[in-house]
This record gives sequence, C-alpha cells and structure tokens, in this order.
Amino acid sequence: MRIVDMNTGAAKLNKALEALKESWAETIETWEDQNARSFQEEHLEPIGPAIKMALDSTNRLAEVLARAQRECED
Amino acid sequence: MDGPANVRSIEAIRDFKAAMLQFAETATNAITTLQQEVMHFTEWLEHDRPSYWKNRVRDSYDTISQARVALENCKMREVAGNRPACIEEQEALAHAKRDLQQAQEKVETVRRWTINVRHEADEYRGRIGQLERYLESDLLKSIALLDRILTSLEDYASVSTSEGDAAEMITENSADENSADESPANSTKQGN
Repeated sequence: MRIVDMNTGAAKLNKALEALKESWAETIETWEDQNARSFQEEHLEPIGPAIKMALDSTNRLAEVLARAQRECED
Repeated sequence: MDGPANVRSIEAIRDFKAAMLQFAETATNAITTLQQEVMHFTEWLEHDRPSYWKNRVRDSYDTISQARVALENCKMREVAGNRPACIEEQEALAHAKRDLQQAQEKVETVRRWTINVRHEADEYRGRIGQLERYLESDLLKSIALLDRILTSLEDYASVSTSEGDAAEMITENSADENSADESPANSTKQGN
C-alpha cells in the first residue's frame, strides 16, 4: 500500500499545461500580430520551464519517498 | 499595442483568457494536492513509524523471554533418560532474536530517513513555492494584460462599427439624392 501519491498531482500539472498550450494554438490561428508574438514570448514561454522544474522536483521527491517507505515498512 | 493589429476573432482571445484562468486554478489545486501528500507522508514517517517499530522491539523482547522459557523447559525434560535436542525451541529463540535485531535496526532506519525526508521536503517546498508565487503574481499580470488588449480591441471594434454605420448612412443618403435627381422634374432642371 502506497503511503504517498505524487503522481496524481504531477499529472494534473502536466495536463493543465497541455490544455493551455492547445488553447493558445487555437488562439493564434486568429491572432497573428506583434502583440500575439510578444505575449507568447514574454508571458507564455516562461510557464513551460516553471512547470518542468516543478515536475522534475516532484519526480525526484517521489523517488526519495518511495525509498523511504520501502525501508521503513515491515 | 505594438504595431498594427491582426485579430480575426476577439472571442478567441476572450476564450484564451478563460483558459489562462482555468490553468491558474488547476495548477494551484495540483500544488495543494502535492503539498498535502508530502505532509501526509512526513506524518507517517515521523509519528506512525517510530511507534510501530518501538512496539515491535518491545514485542520482540517479550517473544525472546517466552522462547527462553520454552527452551529451558524443553531442556529440563527427560524422555527415556535422554534430554531432547530442543531444536525447535532453539530455532524459535534464534528467530525471536533476529526479529529484535531487525526491529532495532528499523528504529534507526526510521530516524535516518526522518532527517533525510525533512531536508528533501523542505527543498521541495522551496521549489514548488516558486511555481506557486509565479501563479499568484506573474500569471495574474499576464491575464491583466490580456484584459487590456481585449478592451483596446473591443473599443476599436465598436468605433469601427459606428464609423461603418455612419458611412453606410452617408452612402444611402447619397443614393437617395441621386434617385431624386434622376426624376423627370429634376432631369428637366438639370437639362437647363
């Protein structure tokens, strides 16, 4: 029995990012000017790395906790 | 706004603003879920495990005592003038001692992992906190900018519509005047 579940939260984060990317892809089909390009570069592109860092940290911690659980269980 | 706008659907931008708000909410909920999981685990490790293994140590001591008594009793028995080998009793005592050793090692393992996990969890909270702050601050600024862009576009669209209506009215009036000029009475006047 797993004491901790980091996968569900991580999956939610990932899914949220994918949904946002899809929505933007639809938006720029009808918004094609410098403002759109600036908005993408300055406001949307930083989101990916921020989420990736959070997911990498989550995966790392999940591994640590899994090892801790194995060693501290019966 | 920078440069000429090329927007074929203001509704699409409005939809994207809604998508950003949804993203902020979902991501924030995901972070809360993750932090709760970490908290739940550290509680298990710091409270449940120490008491579990200390109880196992205590139980092991009891089992050892019982196993020793059983072994002594066995050794004191005589069957047809011979003392039994008491192999089962010896094995039971050895097993109980191994259980005790394992339980004592686990107490130490739990102590080491408690320190390790606290450190890792603190680092994790720091990193995930950066994303939280981003969602609470930078992302909201991005959404506010989208709002301003939408307002500009909607204002421009409404002015364009008004000018378009006015232009249409001028065009209709001109058409009416031309029709009036083409009537026989006017033609006559124009002919002069």
